[in-house]
Amino acid sequence: MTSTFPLLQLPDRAIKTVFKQYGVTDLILFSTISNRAKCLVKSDKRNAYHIEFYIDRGCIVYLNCGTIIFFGESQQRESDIESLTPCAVRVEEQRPPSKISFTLPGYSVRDWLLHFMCVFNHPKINLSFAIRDEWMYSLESVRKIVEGISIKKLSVFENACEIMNYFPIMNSLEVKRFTLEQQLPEEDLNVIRKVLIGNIACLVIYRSIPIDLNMLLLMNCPDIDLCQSSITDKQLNKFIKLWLTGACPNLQDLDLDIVEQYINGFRLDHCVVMKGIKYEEFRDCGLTGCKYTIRKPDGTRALLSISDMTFSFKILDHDNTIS
Amino acid sequence: MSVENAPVVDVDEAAIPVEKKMYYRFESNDKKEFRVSELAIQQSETLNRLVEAMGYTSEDVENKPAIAIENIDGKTLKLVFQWCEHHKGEAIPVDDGSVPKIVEIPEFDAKLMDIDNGLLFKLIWAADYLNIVQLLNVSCKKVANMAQGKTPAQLRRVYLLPSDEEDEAAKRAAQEAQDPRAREVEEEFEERKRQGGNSFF
Repeated sequence: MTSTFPLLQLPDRAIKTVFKQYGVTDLILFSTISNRAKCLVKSDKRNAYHIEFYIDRGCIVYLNCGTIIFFGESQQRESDIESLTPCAVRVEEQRPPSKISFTLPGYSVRDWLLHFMCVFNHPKINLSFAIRDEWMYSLESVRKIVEGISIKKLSVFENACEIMNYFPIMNSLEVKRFTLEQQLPEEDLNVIRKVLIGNIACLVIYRSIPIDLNMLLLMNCPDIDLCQSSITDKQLNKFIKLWLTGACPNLQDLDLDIVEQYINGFRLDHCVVMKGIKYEEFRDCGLTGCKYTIRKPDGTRALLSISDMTFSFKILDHDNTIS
Repeated sequence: MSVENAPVVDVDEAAIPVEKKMYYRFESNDKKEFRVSELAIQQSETLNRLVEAMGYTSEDVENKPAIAIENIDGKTLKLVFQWCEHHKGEAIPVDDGSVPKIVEIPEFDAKLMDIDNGLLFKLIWAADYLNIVQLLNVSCKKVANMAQGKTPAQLRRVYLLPSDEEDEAAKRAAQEAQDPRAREVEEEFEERKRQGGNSFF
């Protein structure tokens, strides 16, 4: 019995059927054989929905089929990530459940990162920086690994300023904070203020950043989530009136909370926020507060949700769904 | 002409008193003839449509020549029809798009496919041509299983996969064989570029 099989001479549909039955480990190993093999695996469209680089854990690829791939894991603090070559890859499959680890000679963390981005059709990575004490890799080694790679989301806890100097371009920025962590230094706050008026598509800030009306009007990000802001209901009222007359044309989604002020007894009064504004009540006023729709003269509609400590603004489509 | 008059799977006709089963006759490219039940044919979308379009009666089946399947040999077609007879009446699987596709190889299929890889290759081609979805699934599963536990170097050997250099060489050879004039034009263009000329035409 012959031990070889001319796989590539099968009809296209049969090749695809063979690929659909490969486990992810077989698929990965197959994809390293040649460029043609890589293209075949890519065309199988076993796509990733996230490729994450966690500075405290290493890289994780999440595939749509439920399989998770881990690589670049280090036990040593602030290490040079390239010293992990050849880099071990661990595949955890769901269907059927299995865990397989392997290495390939010469494959570094960066090699695997680029390879997985290609074969699993995911052109951007998320870069996540934990608190400094938990970093397993040096900032410089991370910069070398992701050099030239597009960053989809950058998540930072502290040292936001330092990290954003290394990685200034991203689609989405998330500035996180632990409950007991101290506030950001003024320098970092200034950087974030600059970011707010930049062109980042999505911004999530879990930091107490002084936002006044002027700041709000200057913001250029379409999607903003600001926690612990210090804005007042009167300022929000003014903001809505200005939006109705053409301010912040790019804004699609704004979420604010005033948790810190709420703790001090301050409440957002929806009557003050909506004073002098023509609106329609939107469905019911449930536990999440009151909802209103407002309309610009050009027909653009927005949904406002107001509770004691949160304010949300979302552009609506024609069928009343959120854009 | 060698004729296999018996059905692929023996059927006791007396055991079916109510309704007489209809059998179709097919002929492979090496002139081997097979009689296959109507129900078994339903496993093959291609053959099912073909016999529907022909509208044969029982008399037609006996009196007219066997339906020729030009590009499948007798050895392969025998396996195909054995599989169809064994799985007749079973639902044809619909691809739900889930990956990895979980396919179990039943014992009968495993025994049927205990064959040389050359014949397995022909069987897959036949399953694809005749559009027998489940046979394609199980036969491809057998090919997929060949990869289990193999290193990339072993995979390359098992699947006869060319290296990048071999692919490049084959591509160049194919280009040269296909269109020598295009190559001349390309060389001329390259030459002009080397000479610093801006316009080609």
